[in-house]
Amino acid sequence: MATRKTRRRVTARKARSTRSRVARRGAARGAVHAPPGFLLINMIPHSLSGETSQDSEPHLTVNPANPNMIIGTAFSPNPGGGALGPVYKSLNGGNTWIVQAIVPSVAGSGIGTGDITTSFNRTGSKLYGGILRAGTGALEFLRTNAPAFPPMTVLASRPNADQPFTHATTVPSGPGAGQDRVYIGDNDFAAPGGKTQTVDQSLNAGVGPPVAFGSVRVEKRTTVGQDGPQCRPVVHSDGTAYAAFYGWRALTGSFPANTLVVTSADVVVVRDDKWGAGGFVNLKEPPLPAGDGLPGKRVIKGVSFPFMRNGTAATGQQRIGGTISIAVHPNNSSVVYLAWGDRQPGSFLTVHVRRSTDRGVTWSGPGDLLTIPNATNAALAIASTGEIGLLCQQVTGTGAGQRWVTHLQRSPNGIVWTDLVLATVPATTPVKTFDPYIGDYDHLVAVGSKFFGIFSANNTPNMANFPNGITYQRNANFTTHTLLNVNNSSPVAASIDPFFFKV
Amino acid sequence: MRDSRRLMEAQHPTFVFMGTVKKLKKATMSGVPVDERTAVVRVDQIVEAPPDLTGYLGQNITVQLAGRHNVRVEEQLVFHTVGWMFGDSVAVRSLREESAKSSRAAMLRPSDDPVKRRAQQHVRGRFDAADLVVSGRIIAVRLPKGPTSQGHRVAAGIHGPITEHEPKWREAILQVDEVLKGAPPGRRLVVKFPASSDVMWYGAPQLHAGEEAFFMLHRTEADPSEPSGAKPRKGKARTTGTAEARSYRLLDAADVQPCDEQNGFRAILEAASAKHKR
Repeated sequence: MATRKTRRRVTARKARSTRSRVARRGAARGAVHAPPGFLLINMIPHSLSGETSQDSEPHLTVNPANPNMIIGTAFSPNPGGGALGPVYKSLNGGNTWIVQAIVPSVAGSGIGTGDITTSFNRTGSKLYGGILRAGTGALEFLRTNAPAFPPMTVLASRPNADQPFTHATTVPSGPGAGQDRVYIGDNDFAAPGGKTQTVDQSLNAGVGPPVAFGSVRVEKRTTVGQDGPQCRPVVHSDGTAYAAFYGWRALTGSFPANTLVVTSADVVVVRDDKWGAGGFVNLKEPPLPAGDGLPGKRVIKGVSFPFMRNGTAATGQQRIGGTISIAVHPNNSSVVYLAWGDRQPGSFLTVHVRRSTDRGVTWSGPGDLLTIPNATNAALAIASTGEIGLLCQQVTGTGAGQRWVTHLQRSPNGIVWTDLVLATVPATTPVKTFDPYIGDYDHLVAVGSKFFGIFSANNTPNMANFPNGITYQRNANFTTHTLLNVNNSSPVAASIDPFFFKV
Repeated sequence: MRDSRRLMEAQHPTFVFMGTVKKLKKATMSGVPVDERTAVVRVDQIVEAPPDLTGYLGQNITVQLAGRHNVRVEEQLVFHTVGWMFGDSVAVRSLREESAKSSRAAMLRPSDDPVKRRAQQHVRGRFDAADLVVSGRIIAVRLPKGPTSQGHRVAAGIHGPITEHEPKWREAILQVDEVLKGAPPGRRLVVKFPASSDVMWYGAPQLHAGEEAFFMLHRTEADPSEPSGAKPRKGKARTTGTAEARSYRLLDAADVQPCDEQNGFRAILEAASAKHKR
């Protein structure tokens, strides 16, 4: 026993040594290319060095009152089994991460949870979440207390909805001061008339249960029978609430045959000036002929894009089905940026960025502020300095040379953009074990002047894949480009991991 | 908080080990909230474990004790736990502890594979939860007959809403050979399984014509992929309601066990049978 213990201590020292070398090397590379304070880290902890799950579709929330406290999520099974799915938790600003099982799930789940997004309230005392529960697919709204993070309480549950996207805050002053406001955008197939775009909201989510959630149907126009899955809410501290979504107007092709194309969709922005209490009808189009007089500004009409069941080689194994993100300036709720994706010649999905400075009434254009072809997973955020950030993932090259390149584009004014390449990894390996390969979304948030983000990518330990530096917690040999198990010697196959960055 | 406690109590242990308490009110990793129920425990023997925890034999880990009785330093106990936190080290939550001297788990041979034993426990759980367990052969796999669809869904080629999580249901016709649990409505059963590669259906077994196996079948009242408010209009049954209520589903890979696993599934069957007789 003594011999074994000694050997394990040596192994552990070796592991720490390897990690340190990697971290130092990453920092050294980063000093050449990356801005000061840049951190990029593989979030899989050292004790899970042997894991090979497809940890895709990541999301992130940062405690606004204490940016050292960060929660990340992804399709990750509970490594210890049990009926709770995990989240990734950092208490030191993302420098190290642990995995903690707190999400209601089903015993033995291979994915931990279905779609999941989380958000802290403004004071950081509570963490809210929206999930599709593993095992049942039910849409569930969750809450737990920080900083202890006991297993999350289910506040509401219902079937038949998709892609919950969570945004929470706390009323800072005035009427309702101190109340937690939670907005979960989703595609609710139970909505009447096929107008499925919905913001489920609670205007006082911090007390109870019971916690009252109301479903606000933000789609006001005729659809093809339903809308797309993305509904992205964001709320300013003055009570201005926005949401962006695709209104589906026409389709062609077959979903089972993986040929479905949304041939006409409107990119719609809705707004409510009283924390959502008014039903998101404050942004209306002018009457005919300039508009249709209905709530919801159609920023772009009639866009087209594939809505794929399965990712293909042409799309880097990732299924494509549109992408939308919206961000509001933290110092001026009239300034709002919007990113969306559509199909363009030679590009399966092109990400566009535009801006409104009058609360969504008029938008920049006809040209884009930024255009990125063959890209998806757009995520916008605006820092307190006014700097705009766009995270997105782009396919480049073909065949064996095809790569997923993850970009953080930043701009002080929306006109001049600086590209920071976070990762450029092979798109053909590892082979996907399910759809989506890297996730139907990633996420970017701004707290103060900093951006915090998360994305999923191939985890091969190769410095060339991370041109601005990288830190691994799990055991890895960057010379042989091999992941290593907890014993720091057995090789581990490459897989998809979540990566955190801040700048 | 009460909800959290109920959730914990509803869990089944996944990491069972004999260990020696080395320290109280201490942890092996940062990030663990330390209180009077926190202990550092050396793992002496692993009885049952998921793969990621087998490497901790002989190592100290953190245990949040169930708190039902006092624990002393150097006391050896069998811990029935579930995974909790994973960082530089590992922390688990104990659902219960028992004396190593009296524990049945402690009598198990150390050479037995703890991962295999965990897998068998999972299969046993699926057996216990199944409405019907049979051996048999898949004689055909076909597309299900769907309910009347709305226009856009017909155009898109599916019956439910267009969603990336659409299950892509398939129906397998199962010719029953032997009934091991429950009472089948006939010798031929219709078994639904999702053929989708979407994440929500990850791990579901994929059936093929000619396949022979043991099948643990679960009846499901509601189809999670069914659209609409799912409430029938007054006086009208849903188009699929009756058929759905009768059909069986396969959603867990462990629900299909190969026939040639004589020492695997047969042993589980015998254990389950003995348990039912008791």
